[in-house]
Order: sequence, then structure tokens, then C-alpha cells
Amino acid sequence: MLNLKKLKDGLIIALKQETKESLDRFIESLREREALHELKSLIIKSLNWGGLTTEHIEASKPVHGIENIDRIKNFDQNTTIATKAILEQYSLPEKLPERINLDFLDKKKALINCEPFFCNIAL
Amino acid sequence: MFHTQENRNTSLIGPRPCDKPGAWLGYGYYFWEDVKDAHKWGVDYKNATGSYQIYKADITSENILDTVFNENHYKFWLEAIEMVASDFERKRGVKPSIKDINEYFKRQSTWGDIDGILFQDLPKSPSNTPVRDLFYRKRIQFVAYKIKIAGNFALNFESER
Repeated sequence: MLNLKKLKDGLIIALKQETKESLDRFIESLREREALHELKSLIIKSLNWGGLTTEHIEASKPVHGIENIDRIKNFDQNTTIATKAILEQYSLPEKLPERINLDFLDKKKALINCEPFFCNIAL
Repeated sequence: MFHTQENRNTSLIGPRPCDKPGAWLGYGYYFWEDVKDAHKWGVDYKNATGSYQIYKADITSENILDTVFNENHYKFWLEAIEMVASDFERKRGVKPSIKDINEYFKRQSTWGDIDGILFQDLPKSPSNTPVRDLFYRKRIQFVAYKIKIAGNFALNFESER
């Protein structure tokens, strides 16, 4: 059985401790998480456009023989477009694109080999 | 309860979590109470492969916040939402979304006691009611935060391509 009083009391105590700044930080972290999720979706779409299927990604199955450089270029272009769209949509702080790009570039090699990189994106 | 997914030519052995930003109650395993809603969701949103699947599961837990049928739970939930919303607005000057509020709830350590939430909305779609201009039918959903409470998970329906 849920203890509603305990839940309510916990909430009251938490809210008393919140300041404008702490709530701003909380909302900002939510928006960053949403943006990363959006990026993940768009990367998956990019991969689909690049010729890989969602099943490949979700099952994290190694896909060999992806030697068609056009696919990789296509992937890069689409990801750049996707990243820009997200940044505009969410008016993200500058630190975020750096983090995404770094994370993304670090993992890019693994991605080309279709390793389960999506699990590694911090969501 | 019913769980709708795209048909990807395979049978799931468990529900898939929803982590979309638009999910009202945050990350979790979402179910429909009425199979009609499960079908509508399949047709409208889970048909990208040309077919959708509906899975059935039994939800078993004593730690469910039932905001639909339990009066005490409903009143508690209402009060909690209003408490957080007014505090956010007072301190930040902006009203939070229902998702923001639920994410805030989930951040509380005591909230970990809740295995899932039963909730509803009243969709204003003419196809959802046989009565003109009266949108009385509850569309009831359940979000499970712990997969273990969804037992006997099995394929119940597969639409034709």
C-alpha cells in the first residue's frame, strides 16, 4: 500500500529547499535530456536514410561490409542538419553542442562498425 | 492491460519502454486499459511498418497510484500537482508542463515507492464518442516504472499489412 502522507511530506520538504536557481537547473537538465533524445531519434533517422535499418541498431548487431562511403557521407550530412535543427529548436546553451559533438565524434568509429553506440549516449 | 508496438516481424518477450520527451509520466512502460485505445494508438502512431501488434499483460502491484478510480489517490495527485506547479510558477515565473512536474515527482526518493500510475485524459475526438459534442469517455493509460509488475506478457493481436 502506498503511504500517501509520506509522499506528500517528502514533496513539501523538497519544495521548501528549492530556489529559483535550483529549479532553473532542474528544468535545464530536463531540456538537455529531451534534446539528446531528439538527437538520438534524428541520428537513427539519419542512419535509416544512410541505408541502415532500425533493427540493425536496436539489436546492436554488427553489420559488416559497409564500405559505401556515400552512406557515411550521407550520415554525416544528415547528422549535421539534425544537430543544427535541435540546437535551434531548443535554444540550447553552447556547452551542449560541444558535448554532443565530442561524444558523437568519439563514438563515430564504433558507429561505422555498428557497435551499440546508442547505449553509450548519456540519456 | 494492452501494450501497442510496431510490428517488426518479431514477438516481444516484454514491453518496450517509452522514453519520448512527450511521454506525460516520463520514462516507463505504457499500457492502455481498453483495447479500443490500444488499436487506435496502433493505427495512428505505430503503423510505420504497415502493421502493429498489441500485447496483453497482467499488472500486479499494491503500490500503484490509481488516479482514475481511487478517490484518495486522485485527490492526493491533484494536490501534489498543484503544489509543485504553483511553487515552480512562484519561483520561476513560468508554469511547468505536466511532464516537468512528473519528472520532479520522480526525483524525490520517496516517489520510488510507486511502481506505476494509472491516469486518464478525455480526448476530444468525434471518433471517440457516439454522442455529439460530449467527450465523456475516459482514455485510461497505465505507466509501469518497474517491468516486473507486468506479468503474463503475450502477443494478443497483429494487424494485417
